[in-house]
Amino acid sequence: MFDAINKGFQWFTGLGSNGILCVALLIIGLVLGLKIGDAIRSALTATVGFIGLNLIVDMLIAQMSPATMAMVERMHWNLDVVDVGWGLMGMAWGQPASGMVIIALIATNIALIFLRFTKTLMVDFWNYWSFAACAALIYGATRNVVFTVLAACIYMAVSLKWADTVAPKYQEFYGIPGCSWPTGAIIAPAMIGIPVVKLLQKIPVIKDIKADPETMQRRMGIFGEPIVIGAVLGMLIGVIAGYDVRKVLLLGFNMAAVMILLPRMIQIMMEGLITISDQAKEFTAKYMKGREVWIGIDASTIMGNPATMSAILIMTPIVTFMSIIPGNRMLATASLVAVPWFIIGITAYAKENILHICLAAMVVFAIYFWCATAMAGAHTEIAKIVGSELPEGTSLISSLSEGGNPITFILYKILDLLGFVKL
Amino acid sequence: MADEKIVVVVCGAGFATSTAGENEVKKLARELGINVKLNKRRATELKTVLSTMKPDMYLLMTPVTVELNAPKVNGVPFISGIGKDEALEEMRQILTAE
Repeated sequence: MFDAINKGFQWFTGLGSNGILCVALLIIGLVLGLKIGDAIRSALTATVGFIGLNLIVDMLIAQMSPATMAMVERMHWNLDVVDVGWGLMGMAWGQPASGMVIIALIATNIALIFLRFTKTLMVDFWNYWSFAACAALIYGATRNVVFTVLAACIYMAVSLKWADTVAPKYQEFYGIPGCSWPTGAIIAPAMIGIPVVKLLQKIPVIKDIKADPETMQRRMGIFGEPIVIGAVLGMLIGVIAGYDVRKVLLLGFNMAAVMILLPRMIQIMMEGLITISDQAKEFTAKYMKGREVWIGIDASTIMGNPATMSAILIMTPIVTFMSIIPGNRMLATASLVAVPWFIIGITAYAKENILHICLAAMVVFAIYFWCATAMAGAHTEIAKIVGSELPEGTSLISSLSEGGNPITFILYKILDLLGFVKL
Repeated sequence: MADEKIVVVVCGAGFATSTAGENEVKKLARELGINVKLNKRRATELKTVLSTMKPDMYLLMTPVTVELNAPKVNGVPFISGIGKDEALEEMRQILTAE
């Protein structure tokens, strides 16, 4: 029976990821009750954003791959994995099983609420991408649809449960009652970072050092902006790779472009998904009569805190330098735009102490680097399946946010030990 | 028609929540028959906004602690659905004032 399901999906794969995404979203929209016109518009808009996203990722890989190889040769650094950052979002939505995964996730959330396993209703459909990314990586590793869907649901169940434990603290800290923040991309970092912070709060001296947001932000100024970070980073990499002046400048421009254009394409995808998301809210509201649920909302609603913003500014360059830690093979570049998501979950428990937040974040990033390195094979596989152009000689790609997620890694490792990984 | 109202939508990241906030303002503007100029800014850009702009309203998609130079509305209800009507009413009051 596994086989029949699989064969059905191999056929579907032949449509190409653009077709898959469009059809999957159309079906989901209709199933949730959208009018055909709205469903078509949403599906098309999201697909357009997805196409744009892939264009940028292809450019990123085309530029960074030769630069990375040159760097590795010259410096003998073991950093041969190219960072595609949120390119993984595209792969998450465009994977062959995306439709099944999304429907399974919605059903799982509703079921878990009925079973009183969780109080969080996650209708922020957009952030399903974290769970879909887990699914994409597992699919890349195993080519097995059943494991793919199961992995996504398990990851979601874990995220929802963890979201429940931190929700009360966040509700109080940020003054947002009745909500929860189950975005996979912030919950796993939070669950690693919070114990670290609690530990730091017990160590003498460290527990008393204060670091104030105002001065931090003033000092960082223009260097905190993604476009500048991209340009500087690109040029730096060009220099290290031994490029001549023109190529160094070009790489700078291209990286700056990626930092700005990647999120813009995601915005377009979001526009398409918002209609489906709102419809999902209405659909699930029907099942929620009489139960106390916390509404799962997007993590950016708690990003505005000054300590969080300062920590983001500080950690961004630090993460780049952390690439050289032993055991890691990926130079963090495109993933830098995702740094905020690693920090958001920690601030409330760190009592806004920037030093504590940064130290905890470093532990989180180290773990993510190692997991990203370990799952680079699966990441590269799903990229190929979704149709990304990988230039000659590129061995591997990966990403931090979700490409390095420890829960996904654990699921991957279990399947590996059971012999299901086909890499 | 009536003169333009300037609204700054403040978001954490810049793509997830701001679209929802913008849509609500646009809908309200249509309902009230007024012109609204929407500006999207990230929370990190607020210092610049405060020194270069004088908007009529801030719609905050993430709580901020900076003191603002115009009335502000908490926009998180538009994401969670909780308290949405009250938030709409607040916006209505501010945009139809003066």
